[in-house]
Amino acid sequence: MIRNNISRRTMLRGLGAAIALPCLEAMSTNRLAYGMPRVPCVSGNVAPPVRMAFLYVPNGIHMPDWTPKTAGADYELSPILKEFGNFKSDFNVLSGLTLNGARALGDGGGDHARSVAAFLTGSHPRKTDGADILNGVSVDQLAAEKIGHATRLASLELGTESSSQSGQCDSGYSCAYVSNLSWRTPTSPVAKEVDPAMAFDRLFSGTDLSLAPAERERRNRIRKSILDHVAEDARSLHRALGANDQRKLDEYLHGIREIEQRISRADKLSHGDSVTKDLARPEGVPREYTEHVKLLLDMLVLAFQTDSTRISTFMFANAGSNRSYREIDIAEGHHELSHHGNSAKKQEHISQINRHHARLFNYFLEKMKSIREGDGTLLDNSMIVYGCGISDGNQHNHDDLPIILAGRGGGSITTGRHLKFDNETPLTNLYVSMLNRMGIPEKQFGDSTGALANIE
Amino acid sequence: MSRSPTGDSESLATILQEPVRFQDIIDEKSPGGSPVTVPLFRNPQAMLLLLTRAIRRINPTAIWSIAYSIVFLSSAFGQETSGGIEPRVAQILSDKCFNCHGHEEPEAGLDLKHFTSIKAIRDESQIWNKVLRRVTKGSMPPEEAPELNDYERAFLAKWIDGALHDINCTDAAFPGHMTIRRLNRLEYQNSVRDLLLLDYTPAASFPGDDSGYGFDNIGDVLSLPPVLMEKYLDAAEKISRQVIQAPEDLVPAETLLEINQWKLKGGINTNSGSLTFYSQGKAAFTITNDSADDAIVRIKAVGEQAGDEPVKMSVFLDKRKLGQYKLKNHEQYETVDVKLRLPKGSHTIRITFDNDFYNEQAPDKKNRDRNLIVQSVTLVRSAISGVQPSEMHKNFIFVVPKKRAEEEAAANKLLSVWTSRFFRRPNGDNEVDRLLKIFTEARTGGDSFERSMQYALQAILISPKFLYKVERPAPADGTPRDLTSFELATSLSYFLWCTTPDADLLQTALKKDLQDEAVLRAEVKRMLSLSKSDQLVENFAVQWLQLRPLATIQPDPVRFVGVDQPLLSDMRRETELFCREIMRRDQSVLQLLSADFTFVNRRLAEHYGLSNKPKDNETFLRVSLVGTERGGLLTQGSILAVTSNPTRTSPVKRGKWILENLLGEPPPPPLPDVMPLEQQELTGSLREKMEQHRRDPSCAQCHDLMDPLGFALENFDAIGRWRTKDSGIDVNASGKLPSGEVFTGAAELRNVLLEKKKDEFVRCVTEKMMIYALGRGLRYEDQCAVNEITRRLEANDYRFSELIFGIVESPPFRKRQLKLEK
Repeated sequence: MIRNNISRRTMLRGLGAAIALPCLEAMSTNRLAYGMPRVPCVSGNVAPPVRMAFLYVPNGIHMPDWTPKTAGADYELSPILKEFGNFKSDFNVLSGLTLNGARALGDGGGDHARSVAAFLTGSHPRKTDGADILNGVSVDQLAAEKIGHATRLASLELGTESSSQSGQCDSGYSCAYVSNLSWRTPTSPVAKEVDPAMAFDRLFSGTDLSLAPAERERRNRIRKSILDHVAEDARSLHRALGANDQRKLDEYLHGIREIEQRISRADKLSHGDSVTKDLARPEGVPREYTEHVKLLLDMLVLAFQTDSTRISTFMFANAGSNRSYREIDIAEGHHELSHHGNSAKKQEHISQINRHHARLFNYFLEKMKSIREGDGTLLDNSMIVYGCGISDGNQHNHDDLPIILAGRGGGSITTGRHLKFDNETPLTNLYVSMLNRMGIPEKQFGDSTGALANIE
Repeated sequence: MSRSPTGDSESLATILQEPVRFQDIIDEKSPGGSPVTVPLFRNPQAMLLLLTRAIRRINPTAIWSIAYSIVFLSSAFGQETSGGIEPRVAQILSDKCFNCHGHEEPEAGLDLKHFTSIKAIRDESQIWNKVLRRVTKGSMPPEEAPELNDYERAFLAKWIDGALHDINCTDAAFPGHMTIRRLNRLEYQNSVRDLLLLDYTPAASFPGDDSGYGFDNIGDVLSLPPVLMEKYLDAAEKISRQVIQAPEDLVPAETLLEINQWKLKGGINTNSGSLTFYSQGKAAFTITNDSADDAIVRIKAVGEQAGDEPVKMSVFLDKRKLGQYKLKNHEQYETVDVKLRLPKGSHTIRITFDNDFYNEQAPDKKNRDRNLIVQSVTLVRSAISGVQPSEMHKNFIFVVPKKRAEEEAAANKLLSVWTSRFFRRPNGDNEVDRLLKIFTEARTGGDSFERSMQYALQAILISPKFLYKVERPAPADGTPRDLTSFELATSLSYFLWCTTPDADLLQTALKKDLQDEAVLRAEVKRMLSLSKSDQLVENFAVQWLQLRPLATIQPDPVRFVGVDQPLLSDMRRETELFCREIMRRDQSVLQLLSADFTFVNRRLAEHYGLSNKPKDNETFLRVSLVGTERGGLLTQGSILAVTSNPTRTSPVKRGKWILENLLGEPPPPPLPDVMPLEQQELTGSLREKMEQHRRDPSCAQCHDLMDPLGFALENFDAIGRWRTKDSGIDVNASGKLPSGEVFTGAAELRNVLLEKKKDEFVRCVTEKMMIYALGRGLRYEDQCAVNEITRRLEANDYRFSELIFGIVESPPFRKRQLKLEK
């Protein structure tokens, strides 16, 4: 544990020291190359890009300790929000949003699975143990498809728990629904990375800067030949298959394309030589949960900071997670507790777990805010959603969700407020607003009824 | 029935001779692989009898007559067409539908009341399909009508579905469609291990494979996200470099010739840690060379200049002068590389300072003395010589070209063998030629032969033909087709071994017809006799019994002092070994419930309080449980622990676990909107709280069944230890099922299961293993095969091998049918 502490700090020191790319010149040219508008930076360069991340906590929230009593700018922080209250001026509390797709709608139990599957898709996932998985495209993946080409990684999916820990997941729902926030297509979930070291490698591997440029180029050319070769293999198989099987091979072909793009974008990192050189690679998955979360969040910050990607998702745990939080002396399982039956003691324990997660969110906000970018901070240029697709874990309700929107989206969001929306306002309205701020002019997403009013 | 493999079988035959050189060592070497004999055809007469019996199985009236079991397809299936409407369904229809659809002038002209048999329903399947759609979608009953709760809705829909789609097993085989599926993490790792003899553990960092139907090898569920594609590529690069040694990967061997080991002659000292030639002199170093080698003597030196010429230094190998070098620098060290051919044996490297100069009178003090200072001497040997090719390399590059002109032929030969082994079938047209292009591109671009072969291997390792189990599609008209011999070999191999076919299996597929039952049986028998088949039971059992969470559960360390991951791993090992024993000895699958033995190491024996303790924790021994409270799977710590909460047991979870995994009757999920008890806090002991919970009738319909099953195991705490008290209160392990059976404790529960629920258990195990074998969920049609297999089991003393034979010989395993898109 101590070792991990050290390595993390070492790395963070590296971060602070090495990254001083206020306007990321590297990007300005790329933007032009992709025909994107060149926006002048106040300091004379280019405006930093807007990023978005979605941080998911499982099993609902103890809402009495979450929702502020009053709305507007002068609201008083609730006990859970206090944990990241230092950043009160940097976020909005959004109340009243609803995730209709997570409701049973005739499908019976399985709220946990649905709450994750629907959280970023706004869809109502088809109840199946596997034969015909069907969800919607998630907001992050839609954004990745539209603007992912601007960065080396279209998007970055992180979480503390891998899938497949248990055979049966949730009341007739395949585990794919329980463990994946991100869905590239209605049938293809995007698995997440749980190992911080591997996340680090994803961000910076394949860019062996010690090689001479000519040699690197030649190596990439051969790599490209290999990828072309196997893509042809896949296409020849593809032709003979039925639609369902073709979808499977589409995933393969998509994966190949992603890698090809990454190779061709690898040179974009060369501007950041100094960045990667000073970074220590994490040592793998720490035993301690807190440390694990922090390291993964570090990777997320690093990815944004180096403009390796602009889109990310993070799961504090999978849906219905029954892990116990011994680091804060909670021995019972989280899911077990969330069915509190109105026991005051259990509710207190849930609130403690909520606060524990909130403190980790605080850590993340701190990090995001400590990084200067242009005339503001990395946090200013981001939109961070923190919350859950279930509000009360006992009732499994999917309205009046606990949602935080942190960051100013590059100056397009006024923060520091508690915004109360009419109940049943689709959560997906928020996503429409966010997509627009990423430069994606979608008018509709999932079950949205428009953009979210009043966040400017 | 003759099926010729695709491709050029003649050339494959020769090619398959080859792989034996680098293959199949696993089988011979595998540890502890004592072959087991699997008895075959224990009772051929019984087999014959079975075949002549009516094939359709009439669903016996469930002993427990629990209505909800219909939720599971087994019950809906097999209804006689002359059968009546399930009473519970009739009740729902009457309560919720007949108001509008059950009298003289019904709504929409639909009178449901006159349907009194399944046959009647089936005769009007169009109407009932519509009913089914309405019920499923929730548009019926309408809002103003009596409400259908989720449970009733699911129940009704399943039953109608079953009644409508029941099929007749005598008509035809219904093999079903298999979605193209990629290898999962374990299959990938095992395949790499067996093809390359390389234990590639980084596969552990692949993202977890999502499960469906309880297993992580379901084609429909296994996706290939971009992050996994990246890892495949990364793994391919790493693997190819571990297997094939390329000169580019080898770091040159550098030997520092330590200053104090030099023999000095003349004006030299080593006072400052350098060879300081203050006057004419020689320094000599003798080395012993194992094999002739191209080398470099790398000298880091500086000249203290004086006079009118630079410092001159000569280097000799033995008597031969390799050259004289001028050192022009004054202040900075420079590096002089002297290339030489270093023959085998003992040789001396000599350095001389050739032009000493001293002029005391020189006006500039710095210009008076010329000296040579050698800071270090390193011998750099090219790495490739000196390094012997590894066994792995030699196995894999089994054709070594002696000159450039032979390389293409060698590459061709190697690639032909690799592809046929990696793709598990004869090579297709152009397959090798296309790979050869990658080789040629790299080779002509300046990479070594070995490096170029690495690239070609990478292309094989990330090809979909390796990563996916590829089968030719079945005819578009929906006619079933037999798998080819090679496709069947691959299916068998991943089912029984969780890995790629070995050379013997491919040879059999090539030379014989695996669809021939005798050939198939013989091959399965051989495969089961090898220790690789341990993967079957271990991998299957752990998933079937849902033991994977053992790796992550965290029993409360305060209540359960000393429970740590090693102990939880021991529990899992116990169950694996227990299941393996039943397979290896080909015992009855009923032994899974009833066995009076288990496997423990010392730690686990102590944990269980057994008197028979192995000597240490490394050894697991089979121990008798006669005279103890334990027996069969139900009392194994693994199962007791995964069905508990961190701080206490959960009779509900245990009961649910038994229903799901032993009886194949998963209870429906709790009704989300019916939780009136949440309004008040429950009080009393756990049992009392649960009894309060059960007072709600909508909860009771499932809990009356789950809870008693779970309570019977209450003598085992959340980590599987025996106890008679829970928090100071005597444990009450009694239970009564709705059907009247009364039991107290695990042993009596076991007896009830064995006596009254034997068929359900056997069917459940069969279905679970079918799912695992096929890599897909079961459909109604598969019940024909399941019935046949359970019948065979019954006629053959429930022997484990019969289960395997039954599955591999069934149409769903051996044939494919195109999925007709809905």
